[in-house]
Amino acid sequence: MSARAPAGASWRALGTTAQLLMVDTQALAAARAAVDAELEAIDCACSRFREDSELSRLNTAQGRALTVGPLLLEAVEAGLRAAQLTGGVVDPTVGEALILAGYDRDFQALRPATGPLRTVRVPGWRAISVDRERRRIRLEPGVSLDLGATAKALAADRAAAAAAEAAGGGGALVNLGGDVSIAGRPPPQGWRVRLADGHLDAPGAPGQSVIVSRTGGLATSSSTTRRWGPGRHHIIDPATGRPADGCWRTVSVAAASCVDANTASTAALILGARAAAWLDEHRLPGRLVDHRGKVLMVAGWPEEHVAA
Amino acid sequence: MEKMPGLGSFAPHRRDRALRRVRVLVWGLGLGAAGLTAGCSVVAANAFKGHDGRSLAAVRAPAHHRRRISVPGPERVPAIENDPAPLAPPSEPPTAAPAQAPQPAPTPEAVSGGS
Repeated sequence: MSARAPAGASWRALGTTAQLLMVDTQALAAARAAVDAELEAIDCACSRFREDSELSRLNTAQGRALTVGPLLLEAVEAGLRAAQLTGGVVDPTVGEALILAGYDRDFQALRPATGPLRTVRVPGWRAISVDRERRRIRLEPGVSLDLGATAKALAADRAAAAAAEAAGGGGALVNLGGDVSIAGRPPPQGWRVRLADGHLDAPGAPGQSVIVSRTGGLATSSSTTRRWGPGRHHIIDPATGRPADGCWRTVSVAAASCVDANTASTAALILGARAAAWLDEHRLPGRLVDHRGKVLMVAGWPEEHVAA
Repeated sequence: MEKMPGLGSFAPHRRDRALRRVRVLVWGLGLGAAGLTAGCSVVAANAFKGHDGRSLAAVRAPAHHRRRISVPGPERVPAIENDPAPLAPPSEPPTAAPAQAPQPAPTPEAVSGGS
């Protein structure tokens, strides 16, 4: 095992910041290439903001069944699984609600929103039909998918696995805008992960802490980031069709994969007061921060070293 | 006592006959009005040409402006085969981080925050 500090790189991808940390510094270039290939493939398949993406074709198919590639199929099934396991609290059919709320283009191009919030009933995941054998997906007319909650986490899991493979099984950590996935042999001291409201927050901001993780995934969902106006952010509560306004501002969850962690952190943010019991029931370690900065740790989340 | 003149013309059988005639006249007028109304409705219904299917399709709103959503019942939608695997906790839960020891280059760390 290398005694040197892990090597890292960061760059823009998928509308957010991508970060790659490798135990084997010599493998960084090969791992970066493998991660780049995964992220490009995910973007082509799952982006809501690219007219040429498979998801855009599906969203405009208006009731026709389409044959899709294996990656979009995997992403849609990850979204459906999240919906089933959370009782519809995390639902991929929030695309139209996000558009009406104003999130209708890449976030960097959004202008601050004013005026009343427009909402629509979220049709729910049962409006999606999947034929896995024939790789065909059909959406009910008028249904629009947004896979943001789970596709980015899926990308992190796939990219971390690809990076570790490129390094011959060496340890890799991929972080896509706060969705962290770990693969391969970790460094002896583990991977240090700083928790913050926003993944771009500078070190030392109030309420941050640092933990060590060696396996699986870690995700943070927050209503303090990706906002474009009062009461407007990217996490939609399917029950209301409006941005979630529960009692937590930020939730971090650790799980066996980043997809599971992201599913749970998004669900917890929407569930509000029921989130702690729900995470406990699923034995998912979680850290919940309310709007005043008070922190609640559940299901074995470690005692915190407050970040300097 | 002297009989009032013309009292014979109001004899009961004459009065009853007059009432029957009035009743028949009222029924006849009612039936006539109903028939006329029905006839006018039929004429009006066929007087104006409606839209055909082609012109209806041409004025449909763009997809992103339509709000009518039809959601089938759960029994008709094979969304996912079998029960999905449950959400799984990490095989090794995260641990508290020791404070970074001073060293020439601090260990790089990831930041998990909202995005």
